[in-house]
Amino acid sequence: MTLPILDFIEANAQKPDRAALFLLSAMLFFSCFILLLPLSATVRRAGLQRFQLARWPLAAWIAFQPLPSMYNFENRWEVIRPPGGPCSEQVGGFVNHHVYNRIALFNGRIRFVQCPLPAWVHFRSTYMGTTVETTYRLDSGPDQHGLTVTPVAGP
Amino acid sequence: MTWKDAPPVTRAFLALTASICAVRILLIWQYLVIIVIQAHVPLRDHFFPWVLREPSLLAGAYFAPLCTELPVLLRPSERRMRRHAIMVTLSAAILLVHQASYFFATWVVVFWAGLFLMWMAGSALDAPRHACKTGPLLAQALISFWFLGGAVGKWTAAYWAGEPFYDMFFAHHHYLVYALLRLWVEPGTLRVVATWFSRSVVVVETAMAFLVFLPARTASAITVIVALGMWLCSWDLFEVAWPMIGTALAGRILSAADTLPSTRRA
Repeated sequence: MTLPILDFIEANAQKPDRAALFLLSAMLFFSCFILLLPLSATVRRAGLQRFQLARWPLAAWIAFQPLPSMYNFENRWEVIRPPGGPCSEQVGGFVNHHVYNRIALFNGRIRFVQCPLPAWVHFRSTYMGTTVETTYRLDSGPDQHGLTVTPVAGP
Repeated sequence: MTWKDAPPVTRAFLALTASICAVRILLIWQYLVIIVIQAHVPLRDHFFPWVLREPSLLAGAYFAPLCTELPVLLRPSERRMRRHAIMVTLSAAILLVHQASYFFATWVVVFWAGLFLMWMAGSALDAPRHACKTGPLLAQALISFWFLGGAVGKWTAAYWAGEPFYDMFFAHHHYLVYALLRLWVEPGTLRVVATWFSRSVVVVETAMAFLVFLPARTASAITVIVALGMWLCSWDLFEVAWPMIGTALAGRILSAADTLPSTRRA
């Protein structure tokens, strides 16, 4: 029984397969950032901010979107609404990954539209001693159509 | 050409394509809802430019691959395989950055699986014998990479204590397994079950990151078992589990062909 890793090295030593080597290099490149998470506070902060869509330029964020990060970090959210109406004034708990999806996800949007606005959504993500917090204010969109989301300093 | 007559590279390509196609078909209704809500409840925010909020872009990126997926599955040819591999990768790349779909792990997995399809439709078809030596490692590396990304982010005290999974699944989730557990098990015991479930997820995902070092047959069998386990834990995880199984099968097909006396060209 031969190991695929040895077969790969042997085959590429005889005749390099550029496409295969490129694919493997891309995986190794992103794996470095994954493995740096526990080691570097800068990488941790960037990883946490990536989920909250905070302080990342769009182009850099796009470049890192292929990074697998299923159910990463301890992410919590809290929604604070004005009193009155059928919706709870305070909702919260753990969220899986890409925490901003609580706002952007289709069923989340519907819930926000049906409840009194403005609402404040606070995200808190923690990983190995590093914490990132972001608060968003949600208002009705122009002509009461949809939602407008604005980052704010705090509720 | 039928699946049975197809050369190994084509069969591996079709196995992965079929798994992605099955996910796409099962998610059609959900994506129709997402597209309609994106159009009727727009979200204006600080981050996404108008183009990445466009419902038509979302619809195009989701449905366009069906135009190449079905023909290549019915009658695979070199040209169809190449066109389809590019289409799947491009569509996943768009869905990975669109405001209404960027957070679904499905498109991370499909994007990388698309790159693997591009490799199969390109250099693997050009040098099939060589591909049977390099392909199994690529499949295993992809699976290791996906699990590594999931595992490292869970190396936290809260995941070891089971808090996030208890809150997200055991305490509230409507999926049958969790609803039955809430009915059958005392709240205190349920919390203990959640802790051990969470610990096993962290350990299994971390162990899966080392899959790249295993023999091909063992690696593909373990991947299929783990992916089925994921699907059992949450029904909607089929969208990630199936392409993982497709990737494992593709690696298995290529490694099995490496033991054959000759490997035909597509």
